[in-house]
Amino acid sequence: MKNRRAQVSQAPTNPRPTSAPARFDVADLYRGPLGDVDARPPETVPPDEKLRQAYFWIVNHAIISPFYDLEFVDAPPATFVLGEQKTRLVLPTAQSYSSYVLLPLLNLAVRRRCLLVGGPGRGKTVIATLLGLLAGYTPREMKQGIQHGQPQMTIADLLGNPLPSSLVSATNMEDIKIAWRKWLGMHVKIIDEYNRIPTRTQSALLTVMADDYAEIYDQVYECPPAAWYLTANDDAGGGTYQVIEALRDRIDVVVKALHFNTRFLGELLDRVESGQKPEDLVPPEIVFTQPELDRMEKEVRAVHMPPPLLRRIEFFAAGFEFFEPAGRTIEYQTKDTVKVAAVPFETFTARGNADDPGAQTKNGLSVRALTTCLVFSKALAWFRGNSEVAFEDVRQILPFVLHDKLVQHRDAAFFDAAENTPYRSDLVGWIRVLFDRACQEYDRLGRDTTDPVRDALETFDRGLEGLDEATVDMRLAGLERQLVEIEKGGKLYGYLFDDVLALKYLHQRYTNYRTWLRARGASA
Amino acid sequence: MLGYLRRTVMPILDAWEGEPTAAVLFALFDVGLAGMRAGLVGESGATPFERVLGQRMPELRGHIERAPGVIMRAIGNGYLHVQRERGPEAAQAWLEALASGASLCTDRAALFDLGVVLGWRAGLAEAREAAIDRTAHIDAGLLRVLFDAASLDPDPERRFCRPGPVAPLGPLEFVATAGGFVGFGGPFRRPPRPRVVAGRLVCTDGDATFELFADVFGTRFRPAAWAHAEATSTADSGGAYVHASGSVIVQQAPVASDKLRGAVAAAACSGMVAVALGDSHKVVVLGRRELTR
Repeated sequence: MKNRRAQVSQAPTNPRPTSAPARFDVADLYRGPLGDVDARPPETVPPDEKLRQAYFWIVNHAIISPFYDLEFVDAPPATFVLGEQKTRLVLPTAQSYSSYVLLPLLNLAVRRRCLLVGGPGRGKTVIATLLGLLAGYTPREMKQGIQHGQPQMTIADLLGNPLPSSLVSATNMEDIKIAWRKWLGMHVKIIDEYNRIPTRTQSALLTVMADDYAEIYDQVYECPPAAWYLTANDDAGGGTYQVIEALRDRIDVVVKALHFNTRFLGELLDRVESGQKPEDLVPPEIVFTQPELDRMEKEVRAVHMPPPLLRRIEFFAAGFEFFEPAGRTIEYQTKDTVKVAAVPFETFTARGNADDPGAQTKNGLSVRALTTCLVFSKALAWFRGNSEVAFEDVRQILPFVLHDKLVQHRDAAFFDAAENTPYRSDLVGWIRVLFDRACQEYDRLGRDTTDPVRDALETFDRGLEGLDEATVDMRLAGLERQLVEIEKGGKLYGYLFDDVLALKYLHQRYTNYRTWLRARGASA
Repeated sequence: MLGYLRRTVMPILDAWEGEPTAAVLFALFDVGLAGMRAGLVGESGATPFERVLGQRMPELRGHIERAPGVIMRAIGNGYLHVQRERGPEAAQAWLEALASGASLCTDRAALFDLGVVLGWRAGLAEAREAAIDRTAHIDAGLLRVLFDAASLDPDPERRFCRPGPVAPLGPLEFVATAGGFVGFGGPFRRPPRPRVVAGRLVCTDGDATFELFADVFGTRFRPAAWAHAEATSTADSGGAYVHASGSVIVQQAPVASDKLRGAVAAAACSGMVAVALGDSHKVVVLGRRELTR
């Protein structure tokens, strides 16, 4: 009899109504009175379906994570208001997921860097190991491949050693042969308790994580693209060593292990009594081959991001970087200016307008953070079986991607309001509120229909070739009119700051073109 | 059955290079058993299927050896399918071509893909998209032999053009008639009306709805129960209509053709235009062929 724990959910795991059927089912040609023939190619389960099966196997049989914090609804949900804080409980009507399991899985698909944070015994290392097994490695290979952070870990422990024989006989650096650690060549890389690694070794790890190569004695090892999993008991610097900022910055997504729900103690007991580890029970049906992993990554990249949704993300992201007190030159009125100048943020006493999202953070969003937002939004849409990113995909994924990227300004006026105080510790909820409010503001401004800066950029993108001076003058006047409108408004907000800089950029490009036109006219 | 074994199976086994496995024998036997009821195998004399199978077995042998039961069932079912939909000559040609290309198919999946492509070429217009998709897995040399082209253009607007050299499209013109009264073997009880449902061209007589498939290889109606509710309630015609003057207008331009006399309704979708005539159970199909110089 098949082990219950090795049972895989039957496809389709996310059934949805189909509209028009396929015009022609290939199987029909070979179906008939002589007996049906399965004409499907050998690889019948599409990778997104297989990944969903893997998800359901993990949540049903491997990790006890009875949470659905990535909520999707397709009909008005039942809601309940609970507790003194009037917390709203929503019962999702569409398939919803546990972030603790789903995000590491998506990370496997997009080959990025995922940090699992949580107290001991929450299954961080187990889930990371399971993902290695899903990628086709054996339990033994995974045991060899996991790097356990510890205070004495050296660069040689992490990367490898020069072979003593070659070290003795070498007459130059090229002659030294390095015995590289096997994990460097793996497609799933696990660094357990990375905040226990000494700072110097963290720098070596950074090179591998950021640039996919390792270097010792001038010898370079090129690492294949890999999904990274790092674990830490405490994300707030409670490890043995402070994690270097560049290394933290390379982490794309942070997943927190939630508490253990005591109502599931029986399930835990069941596992204790069965004596079986989930690592030993991974069903072969959900193990991915390397071509499947490659295909997953390609399919995720091919998911379409609709331009209106992208504009919404643009608007949201524009809210954070602008910081007027940072400089007198408009380009330098950013939080980055403050950071680069090493001026303590607390020097600026302004606590900001409670409604201004920019006042709630100490930094803006880096290009890396924005890239990760886009990649994981696509991955979530793909996982849900869609070919296009939906608003809710972005809304659900942003908190996990920006969790470690947006540094909260805890003294901001926003957090003084009683209903907002919990957001000082609930970063997921806080980022979701930031996005929701940005979207409300976006709608209030009617940006979907009226966005003159976007129109100006699109007009410019059509090219300058063949434009006469009168048209250029007209466009320059239009840009200046837009700046006058912004000037009239008085206060600058993040999105207006980016608009102003975009208008200045366009103005300069048109001005240069007009100068060139005039010079050409004069010489002709 | 004994006749089939004697006249078809024995010669195949005798001519087999090396020793045929028991599985090959059983597969041939099973095809005879089930095929006789379906008319694939004859009781007193050899059917065209038996004749082609006997002649072309050397070319199919490699695939049959690897999975005798699966390949024999697929060949038999595919043959019956093409025969039912396009007639016995088309089915024979399908099997002949399948055997010719079998040696260039690396595995079973490739052979099945070839079968689909050949089915489309035999006139199963509904297989167009699937077949074009499958050509990616077919040997380029074989594709050139089949279509005189290294790749096929999936553009639906060019569905009535020969695969191969790309010439500019000509104007809309008459390409076929399809449908007919149920009493004469057609699908419609009343003169049908064309509609566009879910981006696909269908015709409904109010009782039943059929999807129109048409391209350079054939024109066919297939049952489309999925579209019936919408076809009987929608007026979407994809930008085609019949003007009060009686002319058929597609994308703001009139179409001139003698075949359109009496037109009462039109719909256009994916390079096809279906025109219903007031007194006919048939539908006139318009499309654009390549310009001839």
